[in-house]
Amino acid sequence: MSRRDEILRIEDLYVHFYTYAGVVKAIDGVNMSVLRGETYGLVGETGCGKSVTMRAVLRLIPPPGRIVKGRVIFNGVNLLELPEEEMRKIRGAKIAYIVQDPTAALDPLYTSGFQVAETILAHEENVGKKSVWERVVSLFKSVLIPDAERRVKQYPHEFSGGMRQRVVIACAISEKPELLIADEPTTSVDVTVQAQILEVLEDLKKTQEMTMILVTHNLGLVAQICDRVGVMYAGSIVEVSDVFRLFEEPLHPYTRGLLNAIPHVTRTQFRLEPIPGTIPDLINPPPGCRFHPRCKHATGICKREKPKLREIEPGRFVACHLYRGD
Amino acid sequence: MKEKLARGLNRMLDLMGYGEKWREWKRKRRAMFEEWELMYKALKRSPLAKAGAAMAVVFFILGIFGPQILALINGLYSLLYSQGIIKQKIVLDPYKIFAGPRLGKPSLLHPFGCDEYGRDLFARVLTGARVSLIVSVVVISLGIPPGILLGLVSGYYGGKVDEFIMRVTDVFLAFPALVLAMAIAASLGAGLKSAIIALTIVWWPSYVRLVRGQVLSARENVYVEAARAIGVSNLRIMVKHILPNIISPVIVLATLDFGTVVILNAALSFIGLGAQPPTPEWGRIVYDGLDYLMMAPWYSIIPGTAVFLTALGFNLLGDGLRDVLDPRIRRSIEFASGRE
Amino acid sequence: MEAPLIQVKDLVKYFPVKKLFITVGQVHAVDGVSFEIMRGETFGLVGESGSGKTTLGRLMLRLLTPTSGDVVYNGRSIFELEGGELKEFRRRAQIVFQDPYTSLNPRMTIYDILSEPINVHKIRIPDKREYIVKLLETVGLGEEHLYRYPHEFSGGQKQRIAIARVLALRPEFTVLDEPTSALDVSVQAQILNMLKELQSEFKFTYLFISHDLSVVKFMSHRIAVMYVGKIIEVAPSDDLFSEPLHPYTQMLLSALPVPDPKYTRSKQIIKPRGQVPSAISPPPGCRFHPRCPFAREKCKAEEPELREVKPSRLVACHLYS
Repeated sequence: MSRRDEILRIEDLYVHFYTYAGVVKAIDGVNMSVLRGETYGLVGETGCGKSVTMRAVLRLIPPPGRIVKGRVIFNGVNLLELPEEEMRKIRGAKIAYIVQDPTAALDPLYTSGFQVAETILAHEENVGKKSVWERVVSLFKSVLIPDAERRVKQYPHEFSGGMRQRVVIACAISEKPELLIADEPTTSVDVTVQAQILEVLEDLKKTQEMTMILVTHNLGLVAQICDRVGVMYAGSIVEVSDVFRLFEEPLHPYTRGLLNAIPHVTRTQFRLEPIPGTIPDLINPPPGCRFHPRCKHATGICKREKPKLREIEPGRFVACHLYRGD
Repeated sequence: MKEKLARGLNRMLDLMGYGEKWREWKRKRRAMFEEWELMYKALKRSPLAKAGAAMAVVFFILGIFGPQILALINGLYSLLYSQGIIKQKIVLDPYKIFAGPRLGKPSLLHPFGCDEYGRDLFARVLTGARVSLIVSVVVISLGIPPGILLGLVSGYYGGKVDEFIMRVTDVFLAFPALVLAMAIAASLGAGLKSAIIALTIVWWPSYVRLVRGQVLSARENVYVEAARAIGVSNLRIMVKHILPNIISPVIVLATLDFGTVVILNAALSFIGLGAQPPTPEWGRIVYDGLDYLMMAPWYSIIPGTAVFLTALGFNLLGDGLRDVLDPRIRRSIEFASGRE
Repeated sequence: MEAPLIQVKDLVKYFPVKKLFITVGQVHAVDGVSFEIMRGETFGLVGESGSGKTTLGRLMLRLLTPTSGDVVYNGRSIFELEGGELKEFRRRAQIVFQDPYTSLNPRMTIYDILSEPINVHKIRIPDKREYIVKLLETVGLGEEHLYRYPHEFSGGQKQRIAIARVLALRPEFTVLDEPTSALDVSVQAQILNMLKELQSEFKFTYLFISHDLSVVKFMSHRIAVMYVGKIIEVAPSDDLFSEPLHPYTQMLLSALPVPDPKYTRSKQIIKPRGQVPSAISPPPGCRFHPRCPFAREKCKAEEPELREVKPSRLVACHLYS
């Protein structure tokens, strides 16, 4: 993987939350690299830190969270060292962010079209009212909202959940961002609506040459649209691979466990294989590999030393002591 | 120290054969203990609430132990007299006339001065705390239970029952509390008893309102539906599943109201509808002192300040307790104590 | 063939829509639904949000009163039960709710939560404490959890407690209303396995409600698909997935992302069109016709009935008439 193709590179990122109960070590040394033009899937269960990692990219970690150390290199620039004013220009314009709940993302007091227009006006000066409005209509069309001319004048409550999410996407792509971060974009909608939103996203990716990071817990979604996948567990990335090899032959015991734990519509199963135990307490995380208390292959070294993410075959990275020998 | 005490208690109970029962009981009642602990922690965070709590505690102590305190001081005075250190024999007694000089200035022996009959004002104000405490406790403890009951029924059943209870409540709430209490007290004839009855009658409607609102949101909880699915009766759902989850705001309002009752009671006596002379009631003392405001300003100001400080104390305490209910503040306190 | 445990007969539930106290319309939450559940069976109910599946589950436990229609349980209409009989029905028919975070009273210890059903139904057991500990052990918890409060447990553990509460009454029939949709996949697997094991141990009958097709397939023997208040297809679990008959079922299945990249990218996709119609004014005729790729004139005018078109396969669609 050559550095030239990288649009985003996260190096050794640590994010801690300083709460009354103690320091929550939410992100513990994340390294990831996203290539220009790809769809990167970041998967993991609740609390694994996938959303926090993405928020760290935009420097939108809510207090009491703090980025302790690390580098976030976007197009060769370390975002964590930029002045706030520069950062503001990047948010929304170069990197766009879509949240899970479209209802919370839209202001009920303004028309949906106005909210998209506002995003444009926030980043561009000297644009005519009329041209902005035309752009909003064409944006609505590009996210496949039928009857766009009428819809721009409607308020969020007049939209269904799926349509609202499209408005949010229209906001996000209004400045033609290079990188689109979609954080669980379809979790709150039904399967058929999800299919429609995925269609919109894939369509946009092609026409606008965007890079997309899809943050999700849904492995089906990952299988369907992602090119490469990073699997997160308790604050670190444990495995990175292209999507086909990941599902065919998962390397990390956690990835394997996840794939065995989900019911498949294409198979007849009589029992699922759950991962024993629960996710660790991140205030006092287990020493060494954070997965070792739930791992059936755990040995002495797993309890002592945290495994590093290493490339064990071209394009496949895994952070596990099982693969140390090769 | 605390641990030593607890260990000693456990040992004692073990020896008596109640150890296991006590520990089991404590485990079962953990929610109660934890709730108190939370309130304590919330209070500790705010200096104003701490001050309020201190004032409330002082009010309670003075109210409950007033006679004992007076007896103690009298004992000291008679000792000093027998030793010849003070020349007169002084007895502090709220009803004894010519215990000191008429309209006497505050002095070492009569710290709050004396009234126009030479009664010691310190003794009268101290006894007044007891009167106020009794009124507040009676009004709050008689006024709140029916309020809670009607609010529960109204919110839980809804429909016509709700409509009826709420309209009656509206009638009561349409009048300012003081005006309504005055009207009732006047029609019953002046006196401490009628003041208490009037205030109790005025008191319950605001609790119906509060409880009903809380019940409306609490009954939508899934655990209420779960209880119904098991076959739990309506009465038990109200008492076991709804009431414990809505009681906190009621406690806060009751705390705030403690101060309000003291003020209203003083107001009723001030205008002559409450406690009658010679009962040492704060509002009444303020009124009696008005005639001598120029000559003996302390006569009115000191009992007035007592009313003010009591009301202030309960308000500060109530505000502090309210913090426990604010979900955001509560979460941070809970988080600090390792609860989530 | 033995008699079904539950028969749902033409069940209808409308909720009035009010604006300023005036009824302006009705939500057709459940609109003429009939089916039967056999003893020991898991009957799956899938549908998207607003399809009425949750309302249907509540109706079958008499937590709601229907507008019309009937639910017959063991040969008796559940809406005619009174007093002791109703109480006995409440013991036999139970529900596990979707959200384990709110289905347990935060002010009660686990001991209180689990002893409540025993007290209410006056179940005679020699040692209540021992019985409750045994219940906890059945769901994978232990004696040390007895006097804890719900907030001290994780989501999965809470759902285990909710299941233990149901088990306390030894019911025959349990509605499982999206019991794992609030949980992570690794925990979901634990709960689903446990529910299956409990079923084979205690011979439970389940109504399994979910929007997640793969979970429903794993759990159910037969599956009914709901669309805007109607059941549009009923089929044995494997058949439904290998050969969906109703165009809506086909659309649902093709829209479902499968965690197998090769399969999911090569499968034939019927692009979902349009949106779920409003349940206040559902379209005339077949409710799916505005979105159906095969819609004909007849579909707009006439509502199709749920009929058996092949052995054990029911579908409500004019394509098969």
